[in-house]
Amino acid sequence: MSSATPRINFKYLSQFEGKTVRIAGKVGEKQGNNVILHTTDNGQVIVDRSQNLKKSYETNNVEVLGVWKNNQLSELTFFNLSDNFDFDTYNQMIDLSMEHKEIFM
Amino acid sequence: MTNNPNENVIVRTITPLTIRQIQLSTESEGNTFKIDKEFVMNVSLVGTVIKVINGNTYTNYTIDDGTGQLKIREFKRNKQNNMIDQEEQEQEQEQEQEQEQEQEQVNEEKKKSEQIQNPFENKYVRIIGNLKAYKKQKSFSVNKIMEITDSNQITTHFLEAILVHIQRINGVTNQGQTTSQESQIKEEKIEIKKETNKNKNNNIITQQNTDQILGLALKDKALRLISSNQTSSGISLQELSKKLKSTEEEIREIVDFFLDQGQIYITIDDEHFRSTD
Repeated sequence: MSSATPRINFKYLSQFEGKTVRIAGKVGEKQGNNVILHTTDNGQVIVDRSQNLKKSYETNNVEVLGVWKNNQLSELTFFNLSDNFDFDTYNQMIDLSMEHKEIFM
Repeated sequence: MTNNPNENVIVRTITPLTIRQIQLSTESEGNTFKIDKEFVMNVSLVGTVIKVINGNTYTNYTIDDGTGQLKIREFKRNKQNNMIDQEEQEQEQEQEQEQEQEQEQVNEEKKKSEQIQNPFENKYVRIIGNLKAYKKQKSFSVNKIMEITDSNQITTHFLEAILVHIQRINGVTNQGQTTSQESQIKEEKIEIKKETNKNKNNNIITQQNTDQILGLALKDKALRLISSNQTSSGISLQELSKKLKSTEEEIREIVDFFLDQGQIYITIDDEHFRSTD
């Protein structure tokens, strides 16, 4: 059984309902235990941080690893990304990884 | 491993991989592994450290790169800064295996109470290491582990892994010719994306790696074009520049390199070249 946690962006979310995925983006506004993540391809994802509230995002850009279900990403953990993170090239890398799933999933 | 010198060169190079590729690799002769039908020994990975176990002579890391998880081992160096002898390591390994679980429990409790943390834990790292067989199992021994501070290295690594994968599955020949136009276009797209990423990436290590790969790819293509030209006057600098979509200055540097190496020679003037092969 694959333990893959694929990197995706907003446009691929519908293919990963119920799966554990990684989504990168810019941290947006807080709404209680939730945070809005502005994804690298200009989407918006609601991140439920209730299982990981003790740790705060330390940078403006983060990669959130969580379960995508019912239009919400339940965060399991996150990784801080550098401020110069190039969203465009990252999106292109994701597109290519979807074309070559054999080495990613 | 065969006596083919080209295969020996491939094994010694560092191959960017995903953990999924390592999981799918098949063991070959001489304790090496094959990935995409090519021998692989020296490997680079990028992923996050999700677990650390400290031993007396080694540190075990569990790495997750999003494609899978892998346990890797970094052997510690002795006072003379030499890698501890392999046999000595293996003996200590067997003795310490029984203590490892107990040690892990102790470490967990210690970590909770004192908040001791390995500097790489829960961070993105780049790893250079060796993939080999140990007791019929895949073993990954770390030569270097470095924290990634410029996150664009993550993107670059996976682009490089995709590029190498495409080249190998499409049967890039010794002359570097790909077997289909579609895969050639795809390769060019990836190289362009790497160029874009390179331009926006300030990290020196990633810059050097990407430059190195692109530089080698361009040199390789230039030599192939020169070798494939059978006319008596050879191929011109302008033609090389046009076909490789590079400036004449860049092509001049490359041909000067090959002239010094004796791989090409000047024909009708100093802007026309033929291969010495």
